[in-house]
Amino acid sequence: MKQETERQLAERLVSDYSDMILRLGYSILNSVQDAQDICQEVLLKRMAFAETFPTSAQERAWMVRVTVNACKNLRRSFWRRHTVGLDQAAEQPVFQPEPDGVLEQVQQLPVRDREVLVLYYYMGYHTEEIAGLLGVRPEAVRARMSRARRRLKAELEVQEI
Amino acid sequence: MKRYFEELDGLSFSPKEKDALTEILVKGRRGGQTDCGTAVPYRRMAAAVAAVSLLAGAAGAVSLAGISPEFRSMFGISDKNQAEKLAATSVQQTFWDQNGSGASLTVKEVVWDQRSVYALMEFQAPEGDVLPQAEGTPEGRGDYWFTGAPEERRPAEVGLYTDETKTEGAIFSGYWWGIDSLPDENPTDNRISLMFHLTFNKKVPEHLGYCTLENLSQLRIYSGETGDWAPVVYDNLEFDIGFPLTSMVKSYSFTGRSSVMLDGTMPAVVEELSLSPFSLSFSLLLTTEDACEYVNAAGEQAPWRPYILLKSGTKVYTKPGDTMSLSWHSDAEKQFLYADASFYFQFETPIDLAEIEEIVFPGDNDPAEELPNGGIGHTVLFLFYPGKFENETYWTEVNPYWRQSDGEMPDAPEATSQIAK
Repeated sequence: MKQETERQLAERLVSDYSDMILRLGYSILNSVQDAQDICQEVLLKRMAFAETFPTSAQERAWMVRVTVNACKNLRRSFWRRHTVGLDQAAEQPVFQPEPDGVLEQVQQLPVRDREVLVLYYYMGYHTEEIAGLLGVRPEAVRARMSRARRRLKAELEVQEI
Repeated sequence: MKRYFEELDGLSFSPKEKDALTEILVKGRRGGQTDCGTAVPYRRMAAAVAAVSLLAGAAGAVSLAGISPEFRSMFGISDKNQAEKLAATSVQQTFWDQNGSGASLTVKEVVWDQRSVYALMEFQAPEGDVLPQAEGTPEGRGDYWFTGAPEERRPAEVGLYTDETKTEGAIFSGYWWGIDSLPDENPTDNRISLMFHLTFNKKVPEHLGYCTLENLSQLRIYSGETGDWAPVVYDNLEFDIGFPLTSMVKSYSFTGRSSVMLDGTMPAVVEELSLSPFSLSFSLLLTTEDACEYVNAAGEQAPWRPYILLKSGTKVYTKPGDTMSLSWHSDAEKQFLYADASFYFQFETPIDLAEIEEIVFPGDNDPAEELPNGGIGHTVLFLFYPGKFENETYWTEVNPYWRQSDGEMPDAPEATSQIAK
């Protein structure tokens, strides 16, 4: 990658990854506000990351891994708070899943099931890659996928594992 | 019906938000997040551990009505009636470290109500090991902290399910938990008692029956040098434990709301009220910035917190607690709209819910004889009665106080003046 100025890097990161992190964060945390916070946190970490990535795929994998970890930290923190400051953009989250839609059903699953579903069906990772991102065995990923599918009423697009 | 990924694609930052995000990244600072929460961990556990420190010298005490001395001390139980209300469940289930260290974790006893789960546990180190002693641990705090792995590894997770097979799980927007050690009667052996505490900002569905703790992996000890629990005594443990939740303490949740004047000066609205023999929980809708700042600044001491007035005239106070979650909402012009906060308070001693005459918020609905001016002209906003807080079972079967006193449930005005008797 050619050398980027700080502003160019920031613009590229926001353009390429902000929505992706937002959607991934929302899928795990079930909260738009928390997902917005996570997005800011992850992108700031990327800005501070000194090394460059040989390929965009590797950068994307880094972003996903850091996002998943950041979500886990937020979920496990003692005082998980939802705070919106006075000087922050004050729009109330307006995103709502479609009533009785697939996303609404998915968001009602346990968080561990949602993690694998969003990484598989939305991010397009294979089970081995998901196992590496989550720090679990591939068998555990497949078990969660199988369990999640059984629980879902609607049918997602099925792919070969 | 849209497909899964089509729905998720509908969630995105607006162009304006992306511009703002870019500026934040360039300037390298977090954007405008005012920290309204009082997020010091372990305050709630500090209250629990402080209570249990009274246990010193009670080693080997016979359980009262089947309740361990630890829970008896924690909840201030002094007689059999109180003990029975606690509905503690003996579990006595041992889990071994899956990484083969020889360490074990035993879940001994469980108590839970509509917002919290408490589990008394015992950690036993590998045979032959002697657990180090901490020095200078702050009063009311435990020497040890049992937790999950750091960020780059798998952190610990808690879950509530319908059963051991996790058929159905609960989703909560806010919760916190911790595992803190209790005073150690025998510091030379390889065992310590621990108290697990899990609290939610909403009522726990009663059909849930199983609690899990996964990826517990580190035992840390207090360091007087650094003033924290950073030093690791045992690492790379792997405990995935679970225990049944049976016999929930009989709790009552109320629909409805009431205005209140916190400390006689700060307006708020009380809603989502719940009662159990050992706890009071509710949400506060804070309608002014001053009220929000006041609640936030008050912190765990919360001088505005209510007490229970029993029919006998006895007052039962609550232990210092803390904000579960505090959300501050503003409008498109970034002006304050409202804030909401959720609270969970533990009583100093368990109460008989049938004996409640009033939930008193000092400065608002204090008994007339306690008011400086004798009560004349004092505006009362808060009332704990069926007209504001509805629960048919509670008001007809448990505490028919209002029916008995008036013959019928009155329709009280929003505010009344309290006249000295």
